[in-house]
Amino acid sequence: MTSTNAELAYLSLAEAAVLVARKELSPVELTQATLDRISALDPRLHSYYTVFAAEALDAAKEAEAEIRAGRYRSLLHGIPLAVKDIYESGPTTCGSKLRKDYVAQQDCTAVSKLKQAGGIMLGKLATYEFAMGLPTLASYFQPARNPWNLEMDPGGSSSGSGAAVAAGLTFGAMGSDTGGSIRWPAFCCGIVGMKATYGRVSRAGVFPLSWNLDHTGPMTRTVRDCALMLQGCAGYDPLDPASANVPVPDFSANFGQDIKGMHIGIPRKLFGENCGKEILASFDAAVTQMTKLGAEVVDVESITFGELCAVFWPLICADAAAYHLEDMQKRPGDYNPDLRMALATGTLVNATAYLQAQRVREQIRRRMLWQLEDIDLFMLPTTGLMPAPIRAESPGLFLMAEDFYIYTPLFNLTGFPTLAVPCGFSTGGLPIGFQLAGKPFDEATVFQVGYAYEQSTPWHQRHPAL
Amino acid sequence: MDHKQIVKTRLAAAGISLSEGELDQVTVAYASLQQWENVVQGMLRAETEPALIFHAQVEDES
Repeated sequence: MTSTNAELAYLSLAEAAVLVARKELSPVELTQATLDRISALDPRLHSYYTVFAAEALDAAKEAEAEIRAGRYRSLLHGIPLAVKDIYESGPTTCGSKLRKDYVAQQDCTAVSKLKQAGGIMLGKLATYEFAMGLPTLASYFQPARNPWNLEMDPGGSSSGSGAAVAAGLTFGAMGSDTGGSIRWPAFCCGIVGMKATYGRVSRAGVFPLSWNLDHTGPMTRTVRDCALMLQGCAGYDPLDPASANVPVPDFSANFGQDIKGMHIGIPRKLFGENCGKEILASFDAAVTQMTKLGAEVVDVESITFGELCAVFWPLICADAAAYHLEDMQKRPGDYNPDLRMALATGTLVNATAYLQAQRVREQIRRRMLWQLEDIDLFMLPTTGLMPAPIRAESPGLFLMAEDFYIYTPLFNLTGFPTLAVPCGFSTGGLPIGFQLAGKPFDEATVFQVGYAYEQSTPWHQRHPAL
Repeated sequence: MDHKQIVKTRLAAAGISLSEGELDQVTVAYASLQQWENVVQGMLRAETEPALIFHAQVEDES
């Protein structure tokens, strides 16, 4: 196959997989082209901390030999992929000075599974510090840039994953999501991200932020690609105490089925009064598109944004503080300032307040499960805010600010599978997106609806000019 | 004791030290925590247990 670097880079994962399976595209050519693109573009994007160039080419050669010999493993065979730098695999810094020299002795489960499926591991992607602390120009690790505007943040905490996927520097990336860290960068970078059901993808070897809110999942340029990548990493893992021993279905099974008669619930009380106008307009247009596709859309009851903050922030901060307490006592100066302050705040959450928040969380989850008996999915904007500029210095405790309108934590509290899908662009040329959440372990239906929407709109066909 | 003094005392008890500027910001966050406790209390229904073990599905060894 003769293609330019950009043509290869912006093949979808599914398109590349078909060509590789037919032996019309060499995994070595594909990997080399992607590595060349990383060399050319990443000095401006800062999406990778580590590139495994030699190892990736060796793996690509091995994949090519296997495929030629008829030992084709899966649709990920020979496809270049990458992971957020909190997944243990070689150097694993977590974007922090505290772990700058740490090298994992073995691959985490998710990376092992992707490699077993034939994926080619390109390298480790930039992250907010420990998946929470905003990197700035003053940080030990430089912040990743948004490919749509290099002066802007790509969202986080899976910042490098979002940037690299959008820029064509990988065909898919693993992110993690404790309060929106897959879906927010997916929104900011105009890509697709799946926070799979809590327990669906192993977190063993993925650096924790909050044991009971941490989720993992793939980030890709299309919905179909996201399903393919989830297929390669999902499944029970006894090394993860939260891993669910449930069957792994074919996540692509419903693609192409129409969504006529499906019921979509809009929890408008959460975002209606605080969402940015451009985002709300794009979201409402997406809702209209869903109705054109035959879905029945209804507003449903929900908690308010203030209530979401009241339940979510004490939980995540207290959990993170518990994990980081020793380093906070011994090496506080090695954290970025905003993370240091968030962790300090976490130590101030008293036990009673923590347990009350967990009780309310369970109430919210049960109420939303009941709602899912009448509707198939929830649909809402990912966030009410457009990306902020890359900052020279820490803005302080921005995460817990009352005007940090991010609607993603609702589904970390419930554990439901949630898909971020692009749905337009701002007048400033930055992407906008929404999220779809479904029943636990029913990622296939979430993908089905996301795919139907995506295929009826042009947003996934646009790429940043780099 | 005002909020800043409470924050300072509790952080010291936890072995954590911050600059004065950071203490000011964490004091604001502490006020939010206090406010959120009231919000959560108002949302609470008596019958609910905390979701400490979110779901524990272990391999069936039978």
